[in-house]
Amino acid sequence: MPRRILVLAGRRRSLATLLLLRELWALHPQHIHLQGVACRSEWSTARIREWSRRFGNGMWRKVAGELGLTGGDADPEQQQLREQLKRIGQPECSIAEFCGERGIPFRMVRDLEQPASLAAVRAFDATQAVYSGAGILRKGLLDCFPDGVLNLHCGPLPAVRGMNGVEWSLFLGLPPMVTLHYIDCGIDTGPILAERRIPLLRSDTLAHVRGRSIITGIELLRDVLPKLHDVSPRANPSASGRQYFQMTDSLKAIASERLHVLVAG
Amino acid sequence: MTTALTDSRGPAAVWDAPIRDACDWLVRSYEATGRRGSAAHYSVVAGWSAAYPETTGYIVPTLWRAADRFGNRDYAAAAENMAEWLVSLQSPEGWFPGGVWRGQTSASPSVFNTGQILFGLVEAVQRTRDPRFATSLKKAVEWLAREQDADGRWRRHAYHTSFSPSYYAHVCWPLSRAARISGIELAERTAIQGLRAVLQDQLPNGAFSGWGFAPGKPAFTHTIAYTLQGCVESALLLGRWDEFGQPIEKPAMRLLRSLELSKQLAGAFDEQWKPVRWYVCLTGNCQMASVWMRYYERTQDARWLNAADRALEFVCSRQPKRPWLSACRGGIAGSSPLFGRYLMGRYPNWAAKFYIDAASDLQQHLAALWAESAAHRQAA
Repeated sequence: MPRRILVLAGRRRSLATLLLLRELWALHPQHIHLQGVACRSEWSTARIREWSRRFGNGMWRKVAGELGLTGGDADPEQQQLREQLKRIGQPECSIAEFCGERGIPFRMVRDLEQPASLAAVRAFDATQAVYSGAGILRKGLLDCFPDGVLNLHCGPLPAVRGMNGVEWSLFLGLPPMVTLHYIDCGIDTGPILAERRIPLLRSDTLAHVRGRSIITGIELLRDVLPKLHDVSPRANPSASGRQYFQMTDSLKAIASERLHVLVAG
Repeated sequence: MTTALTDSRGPAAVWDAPIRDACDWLVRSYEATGRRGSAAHYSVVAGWSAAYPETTGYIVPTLWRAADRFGNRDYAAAAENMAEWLVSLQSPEGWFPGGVWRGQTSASPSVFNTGQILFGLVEAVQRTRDPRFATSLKKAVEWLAREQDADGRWRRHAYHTSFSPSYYAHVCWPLSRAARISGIELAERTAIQGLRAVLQDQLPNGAFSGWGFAPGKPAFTHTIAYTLQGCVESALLLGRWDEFGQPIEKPAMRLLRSLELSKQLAGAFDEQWKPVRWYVCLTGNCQMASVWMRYYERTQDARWLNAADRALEFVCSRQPKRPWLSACRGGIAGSSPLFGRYLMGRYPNWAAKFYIDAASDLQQHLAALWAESAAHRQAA
């Protein structure tokens, strides 16, 4: 019986989500059926308020990026994703365009908490979801999927929970890693399915490693998903790790220095 | 903030200019009063205020340390003159006056202000060995001890009559310094009693009952941080971490999470942690950064340092660098936006003081981390 997967996306234009969709789509012969994409709207008051606090005046650049007015070509993280898309023969496009060309149902939802949104998600009739940056997921949404919601976390669990997993791993002297795990009501506290080290190159910057962490994670998901029933999840005790937050530029500079030490060694 | 990675101190180097600018602003606040104390604030409407004994007290050690650091004699001279001015204000009983200085006739005793002036006196004793400062310090400690009730609270000579707020922990901190640095045993006993009374007001959620200027109202992060910093610093000085430092971890982490999740520290919180978000109290940011760095020093958990860095970067981004009013350059406003609720439209001297203290600590930590990483890189 095919597994019915829904992708929960956070943005209409995301190279990472596009890459994820492309890989999931290719799993069709292995009885992984992409039921659709539920995409959370970028334009909620809460998100714009968050951007305003987070980016200050830089918010307008963020807005322009979300509208597809700036390409972000110079960003090495995005550049890595672009190159990977090129390698697998996937042209750049929006999520809606990708879905439209393949007849995959695509639906925008205002957020993922309101009853109307939950009803829309249930209507996809998916048994499992894959998360691609759609904000914090609450119990009501998690309960829509009998086989759970999968997440790729850019850090070792339970040691490094939360944001900037690549940067914090390097700062703490841990090898950067991606972890595939189920989402529960905590922050990166769900059972762990698999993990994989992110390959490093001598010329890497933090942005390169971040970009490669996304690619490594999607490859891990692609490899594990067809045989998920054979994988026994292991516990992810939150008490033995820490939740980290967005790293400041000063600490990133130190993490970057530690990356250089790691690749030189 | 742009990171200057070309400097051998890495990201620490960017803090030199903002710290120096704030020190220069403090010196201007002192010159504005005819070189007596530091003016309480600069108002964009009314200009410089009169000198403020309370905050001049804790500005003294800040300027003296800045003098060491930058090799600037003007800072040291200003610090010493301010300390001398403070001694001239002391009453025969040992107390120092509340409010800004408007002359002897309107002076009335203040527990909190006397406490803050101890910071300056302790530093002056340490630096100069001048017996005038030592005598003044001893008299002030004795007066504070006399005014303390048997349960450790100070109810008289308060901002609000009979209200003994939890931010009196910030009176216990200079008492602890007086005990450790000047060896005044009475100061230690008084500090311990005061801290025990403050911690009786801690609620199960980690907040403190009465941690604002008035009971029952949301407290600015400035007075919240007075409470937390007073306990933490006293705990370190007195060697009583479990008793006075450990209980503060919960509220300190609560504020850290609030900053990290919403990217700005709300200007005020009520006792149920309900935030008032429409403005940021910049002084509170600086003071909390100092508290978080004490936990970083104890635990090496870099989340504390990250939060301190974020809070201070925010303040730095609001520090006027090339203003149309030269009096503002280097100063730190009470609130962001400038017309926020805390010290509306004004640049208080204590905001600059806490900024200098916290940014200097941050700079040291960043430089140490950078040096360690650079050494590993060279070895590799």
